[in-house]
Amino acid sequence: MNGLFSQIHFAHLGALAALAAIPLIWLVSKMIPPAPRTMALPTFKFLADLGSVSRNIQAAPICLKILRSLALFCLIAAIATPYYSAENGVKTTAEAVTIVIDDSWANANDWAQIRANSKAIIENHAPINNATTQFRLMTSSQNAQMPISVLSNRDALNFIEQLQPKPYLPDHRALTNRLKKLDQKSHIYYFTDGLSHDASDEFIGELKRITIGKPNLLKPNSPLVTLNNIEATENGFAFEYKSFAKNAREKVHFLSKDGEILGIGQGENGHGSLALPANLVRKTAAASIAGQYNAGAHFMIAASVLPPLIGIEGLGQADEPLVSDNHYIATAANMIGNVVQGDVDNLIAAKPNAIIFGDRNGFSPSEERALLAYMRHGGTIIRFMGAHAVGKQQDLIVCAPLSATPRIMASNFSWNGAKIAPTPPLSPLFGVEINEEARPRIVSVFQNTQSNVEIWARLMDQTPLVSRRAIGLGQIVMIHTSASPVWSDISLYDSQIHILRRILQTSMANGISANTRPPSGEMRPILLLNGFGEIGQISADQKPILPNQLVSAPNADYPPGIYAGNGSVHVLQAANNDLALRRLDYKAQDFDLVSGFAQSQVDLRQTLFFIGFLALAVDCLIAALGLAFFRKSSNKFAGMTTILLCLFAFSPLLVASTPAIAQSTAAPKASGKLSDDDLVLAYIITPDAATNLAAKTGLEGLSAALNASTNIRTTRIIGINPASDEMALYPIIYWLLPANNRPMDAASAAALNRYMRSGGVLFIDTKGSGRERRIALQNTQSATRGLVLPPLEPPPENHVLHRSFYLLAGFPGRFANSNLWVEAQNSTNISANDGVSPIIIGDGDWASAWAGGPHGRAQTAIEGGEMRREVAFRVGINIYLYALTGQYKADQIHVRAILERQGARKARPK
Amino acid sequence: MQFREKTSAKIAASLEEESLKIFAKINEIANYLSFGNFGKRKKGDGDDFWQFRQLNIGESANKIDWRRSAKTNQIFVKEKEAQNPKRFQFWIDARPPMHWSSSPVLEHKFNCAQVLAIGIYLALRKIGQSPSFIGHLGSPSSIDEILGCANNLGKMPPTANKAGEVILVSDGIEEIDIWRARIANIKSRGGQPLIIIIQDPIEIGFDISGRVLFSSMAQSQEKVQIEDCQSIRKSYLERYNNHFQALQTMASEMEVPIFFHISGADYLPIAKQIWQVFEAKTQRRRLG
Repeated sequence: MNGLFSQIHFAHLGALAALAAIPLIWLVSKMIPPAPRTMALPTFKFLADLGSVSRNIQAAPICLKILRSLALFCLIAAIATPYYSAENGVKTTAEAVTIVIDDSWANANDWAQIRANSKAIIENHAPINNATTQFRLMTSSQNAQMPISVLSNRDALNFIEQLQPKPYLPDHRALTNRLKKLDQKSHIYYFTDGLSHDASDEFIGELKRITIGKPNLLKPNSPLVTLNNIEATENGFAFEYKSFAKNAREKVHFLSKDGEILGIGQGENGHGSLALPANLVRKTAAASIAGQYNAGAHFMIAASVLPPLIGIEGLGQADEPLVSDNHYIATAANMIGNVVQGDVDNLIAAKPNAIIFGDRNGFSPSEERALLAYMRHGGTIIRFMGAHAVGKQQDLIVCAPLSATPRIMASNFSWNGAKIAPTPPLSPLFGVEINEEARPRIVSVFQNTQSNVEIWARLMDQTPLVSRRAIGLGQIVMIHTSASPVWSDISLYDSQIHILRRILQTSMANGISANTRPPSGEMRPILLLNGFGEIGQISADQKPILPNQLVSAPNADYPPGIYAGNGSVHVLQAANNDLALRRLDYKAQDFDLVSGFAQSQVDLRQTLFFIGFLALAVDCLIAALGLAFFRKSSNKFAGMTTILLCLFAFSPLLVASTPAIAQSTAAPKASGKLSDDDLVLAYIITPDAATNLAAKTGLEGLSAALNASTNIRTTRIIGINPASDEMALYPIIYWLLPANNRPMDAASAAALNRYMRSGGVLFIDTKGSGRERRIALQNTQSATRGLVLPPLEPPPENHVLHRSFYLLAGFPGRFANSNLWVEAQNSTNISANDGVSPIIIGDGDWASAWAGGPHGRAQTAIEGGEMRREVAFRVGINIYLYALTGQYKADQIHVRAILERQGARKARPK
Repeated sequence: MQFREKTSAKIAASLEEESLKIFAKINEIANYLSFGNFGKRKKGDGDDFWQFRQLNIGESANKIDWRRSAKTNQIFVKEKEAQNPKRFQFWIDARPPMHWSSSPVLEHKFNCAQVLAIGIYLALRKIGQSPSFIGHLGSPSSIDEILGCANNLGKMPPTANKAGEVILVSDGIEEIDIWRARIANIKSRGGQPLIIIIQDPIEIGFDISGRVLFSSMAQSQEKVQIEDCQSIRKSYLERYNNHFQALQTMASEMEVPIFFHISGADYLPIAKQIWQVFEAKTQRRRLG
């Protein structure tokens, strides 16, 4: 018992002096009513002997006194901040503590433990409320130039709380360079990932230089396993993994794009394989080692390494297989991927990556329609040429119309011309091995050159050999000679297989591996991993991989993931085949090996506060019951007062237990009851009643238009006073300026600034077009005085306001020459609010145009009549949609539809 | 110095405003009362000329005004205006308890008494009476003058030195015996007393709650603390009502009309009642 009390410490011992006040409770603990009012009364004589009613001041009963003493004791003790410490004598050291963490994926398995241990270290060195210890926190992912800042215990805890493992390996050289600048000695805690990296020895030497005593080493508990390679085999996958354990048996989960486990491979001694049906192989997107939660145990599989599904026409009973196109195509296809056979409809239904046709005499109209649709949805068609194909006129499944007569290369005079020219670097066929002897004898040629046809390979005389045209999301690739040796002897060599394989790779998602063919342009990330091996966020400022800077190992700039673009794809694995796991030999180093920390301190404050307030609450309850018992009928308010007192005493408990309730009761005054789905259109109340009415009727009209034309459902129109009403609920606030506007007060300006900063959009309508220019200018200036406005510009042509719902060329309001200004694109904080301008200023008097709604009549004269009014509604809808959806319509996915619409609009005669 | 001037100017302004209000009330009462039939000027036995009329048959020849009759062929009698021999004397209680009101929005009982008394006084003057204040010689006619002398009243004991109506305005809290002696004294000198009691709502209802330390307004400065006023309200009201019951009994025994006015209430009903009493008395005398 004695030992237990000796382990209780107080951070503010002086506060305990207040305990001396407890005896006062015995004296004061009475129910003293308030001092009487004094009053002179002419009819005093009638009161003469009525003043003898006894005073109801009563001494509190002993139990109440004890209860009150307990409450006071607990509260004073809580203020003194007591804590229980398991260690006798806390290390309240003013010395510095340096914590170094290898925050790479190699530590991700034990991340929760690392976090808990670092917090325990911080709390052990800086007891509660004692912020004298200096902390330095360094992580191996930090930039070499980053200064080492000194943190308080609170900041250090926050830092640890936000720290996440990085998907790349530590840079100990950078750490070493940073440590070299540090001279102050400190206690060292090093959370190693257990691996030896470049410059690790040098780094440990630096740690020893600045340490007080021996540096403490904390190593991960879970064994690290990395998945280093996966290859598609004939009947599934083969994989390789690495770990320190010998004869380690590991399970590898093969996952689909959606995370579904398609198969589990068993591995032993770093190798393993999984037999998987071809259809599941093609669905496989990644693999990861079971029980490992780090990026190194996660291997991404690009579609281009998987065998494609190739559709070929059903093999007819060819009399002469050796001169049949289909024979050669089927042979090659079977070597490259999986083959599906059938007629055109069946083939398309099987959704192959590509369909290869030999020489055939065109297609029936229904087949043509089906094939064109197949290509538009991303399919690839590969066609070999021949006498049948050339003879067909009006063939639609070609890159460009073919000349009816093929070019015969194998004449006595044209040997050189038939030779296949080296493929240019930009061609997807670049680097394909083509046998020197392989020559086409006859090739089909286009009637005339077409700009939308790419030539991937040519003969020496520039005659196209392989051409390609994009159709929708897919493509058609033509090989201008036969698949059989009838027209060409390419098919006699494996060159035909190489060419087909490469063409099929382009048919797979994203393009050709950058390792196979040098990329022609930058590749942007389409999937990134975080340190835990989960799919992470792609930040807007993520750098693309440039064609001349192909990275092989991930780093801070290029996290592991799949990068694709310009027909190339590059998969950056966290742990690729080159990664060598070297164990950090900490036994040779002079370290204190620490297994872990328990949180040795328990803060007793909350418990004591709880007991103290509970005792007070019970006291209030007893007093209330006592009062109720003795209450005279005249004490109307005594009961209410007691209940309020009880509530007050309970309030800390209530607040602590139900923060959600506390938040929900803080409803804004002006809004009343609002559900999340409600869109309330708000306008700012001005001193001018006519303007307020105009704004209200205008918004009513716009509200009708929004409900009629869009998915937005508005509930009501509300006038707000910026100084007193909560504005956070309204995504956009309309402010119609009256004719003689006065500058607003500071409170309103501050509230509006806060509103704009926190993501709101303020739409100011100056009605300036209808006023004299100088007066309008003055009016606007006086209105916006006090507002923090970004630089403004009229919305440029590519601004989302032009297409947030309707496609608009301008923003007319009641007047045709209306203007609109938004935050300039080059403004510094343009990205602060999802790129949405916090302010939109216009002078179109839209409220007048909107009044009456889209189906009613205009209530004022509109320049341009009903047509213009309709456009004014569209402007309003675009502005409100812009405020609600932000840059959604800037997304590239809409570009096609928008371009089509724009094209259609431009083509339409005015 | 400047400050003091400003302050005094302010006080003067507020005082003026107060007195204007009082004037208005007084005038209202006076105008209201003087519109009735009571007190209309009529022929009588005074000194002033009233009218000539023809001699009725059977009238004494002594009444003939020969000078007027000589101008025509008819015989005229000269009539004089009636001079009311009635006397009205006012007394306002000015003890400290009269200078009190239960709330700042209510007027002091003394002010109520003044307004009521001066209002009736002015109305009497308008109908040609010459009322007076006990303790003041003469019959002042302007409100300023009356207020000036009315403020100095009440220090004199309410003893009528002449016959006539004696109007006593007080809060009636003094002992019954004092009142009995007072009325007997007036009556012995031929006066006809009329009592107006001014009451404060708090005195009547005792609508006070909580703990209050009450102090007497008498010289003794006695104090009593009531822990819960509501608890003694019943006893207080019993005593209060008993007192005024006794006062009323005493008044009816001695044939003295008694009226009650609560400060803050409208003056006109009570003024009208008093006026009617005067009228009735005059008629009774005429009939008598």
